[in-house]
Amino acid sequence: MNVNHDLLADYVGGALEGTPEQEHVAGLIATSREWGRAADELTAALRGVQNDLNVLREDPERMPDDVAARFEGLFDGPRRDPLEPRVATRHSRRAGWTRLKGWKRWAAPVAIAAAALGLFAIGKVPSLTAPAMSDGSRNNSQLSADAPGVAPPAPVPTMATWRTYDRNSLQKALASGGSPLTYGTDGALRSGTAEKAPEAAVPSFRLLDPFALQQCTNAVAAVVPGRVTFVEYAYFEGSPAIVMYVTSPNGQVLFVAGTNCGQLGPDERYRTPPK
Amino acid sequence: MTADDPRGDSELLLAHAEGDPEAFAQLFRRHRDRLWAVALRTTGDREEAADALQEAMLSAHRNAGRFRGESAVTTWLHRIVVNACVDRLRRRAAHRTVPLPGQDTADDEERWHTGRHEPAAPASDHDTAMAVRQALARLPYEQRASLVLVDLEGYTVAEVAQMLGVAEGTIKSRCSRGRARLATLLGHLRNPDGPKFVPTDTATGGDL
Repeated sequence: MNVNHDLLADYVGGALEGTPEQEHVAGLIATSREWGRAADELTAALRGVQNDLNVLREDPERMPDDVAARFEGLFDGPRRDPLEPRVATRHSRRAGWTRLKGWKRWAAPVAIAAAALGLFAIGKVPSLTAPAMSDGSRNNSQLSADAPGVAPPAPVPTMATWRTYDRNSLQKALASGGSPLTYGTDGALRSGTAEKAPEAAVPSFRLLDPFALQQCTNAVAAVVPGRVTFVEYAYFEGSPAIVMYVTSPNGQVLFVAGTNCGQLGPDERYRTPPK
Repeated sequence: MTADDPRGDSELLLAHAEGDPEAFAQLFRRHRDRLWAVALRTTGDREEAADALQEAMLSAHRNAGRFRGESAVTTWLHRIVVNACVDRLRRRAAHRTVPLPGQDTADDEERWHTGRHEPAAPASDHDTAMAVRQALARLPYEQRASLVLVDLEGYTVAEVAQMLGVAEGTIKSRCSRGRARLATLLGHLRNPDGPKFVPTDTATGGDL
C-alpha cells in the first residue's frame, strides 16, 4: 500500500490530533507493513532532525557589521521639515534595475529619503503619453540629451510628503482640485492649504529612484492616458505608494501605484475617479 | 534591558510612540541579532533578509502606536519581521525574477555568510549548522517560516499561528511536513518517494 508521506508526517508530528484522520492513519500503521515501517523510520529520523535543529538553534546569528551599520541612524537621524524645498538634482544611474550585491541599491533611495524626508527632486518625468523606452535602459537625463529636435518632457514636480492617504482622503483631494501643492512666487513648491505631514518613518522605496519612477510612469501610461502633473510619495492605506496626479482627456485622475509599479505593470492600488 | 538604557521593551516602544527620538533605535539594537536570525533563516538569503528586516523595522517604527501590549514587544517585532519575509518570498515566487534558494548555483556559504564563523569554531557544529541552513532554505517558505519560529525561536504553535494569521493545525502541519522533508534533506531518512518528495523548487511551496 502506497504511503502518503505528508499525511504520515502530519500524524507523527501531531497535526492530526483530534481529527478523524488521526484514527484512520493509526489504523493504516497498525495494519499495513509499508505504513508501519515508514512510521518507524520517520519517527527515528525526526530525532536526528531535532538534534540538528538544536545545533542551529544554539548557534547564534549575529548581525553582520555591514548590515548593522545600515540600520544605525535609520531610526534616529535628524528630521527635517518634510515640505522643505530642495534643489533639483540629476542622478546618474546605472542602466536597468538589477539585483545588486551589498547595499548599493539602498544607498541612493535611503540617503535621499533619510536626509530629506521630503521634497527631493524636480526630475524629468515623462508625460504619460511618452513612449516607453524600447530597451528600458536609459536614464532620465539621457532622455532629453539623446533626442535632438524633440522637446524634452516638461519637468514634473515630485514631493515626498509621506502623508497617509486612504480612499476617502484621495477623493477629497480630487474634489478640491487635485494637487495640494502650489508654486510660490519664487517658483518653489509650497504646501498650499495642505496639512503639514506628520513626522514619519521614511520607507525604503524603489520608486525614489528616478529610473524606476520612469518605468512606473511608463507602466501607468498604458492604463491611464494623460499627462502627469505631479507625483507625491506618500502612504496609501498603510503602505508606501506614489500618488500620480494625471490630467487626462476626461479630467483629473489621481492614480495610486504600489512599490512594484513598473516591474510587472503599474501595480495599481487605487484610482479616482474609477475607470 | 541593557546597561545603557534601563527601560524595558514596552517602555521604549511607548517612549518612541510619544516622540523619544532615540527609543526605537535602542529597542532595535537590543534585539537586532535575534531579529536578524529570524529574517535570515526565514528568507534563506542574506540580501533578502536585510531588505525584509529594514522594511519590517520601518513598519514597526511607523506603527508603534498600534502596539496594544497584548504580547511581548519581541513577539510583536518577530511577527512583523516574519510576515515581511513571507510577503517578500511570496512576491518573489510570483515574479520568479530572482533565483530562489535551492534553485541557483550560488555559493551557499557566501549567501549565508554572516561574519559569524571564526576559524576557531568547532568544525562539526559549523558543518551541521550550515547543512541545516541549506536544508531549511530548500523548504517551501511557509514551512520554513513556521519551523524557524517554533523550532529555532521557541515560540509555541499557538503564538506562531497568531503571528502568521492561520489556524494552529496549519502550523502543526507545516512544521510536521517541514521536519519530515528536513529528515530526507539531512540524510536521516531515505527519500521515500524519489525526487518528487523533496521540493527542489521552493517557489512551488507555500501551501503547507
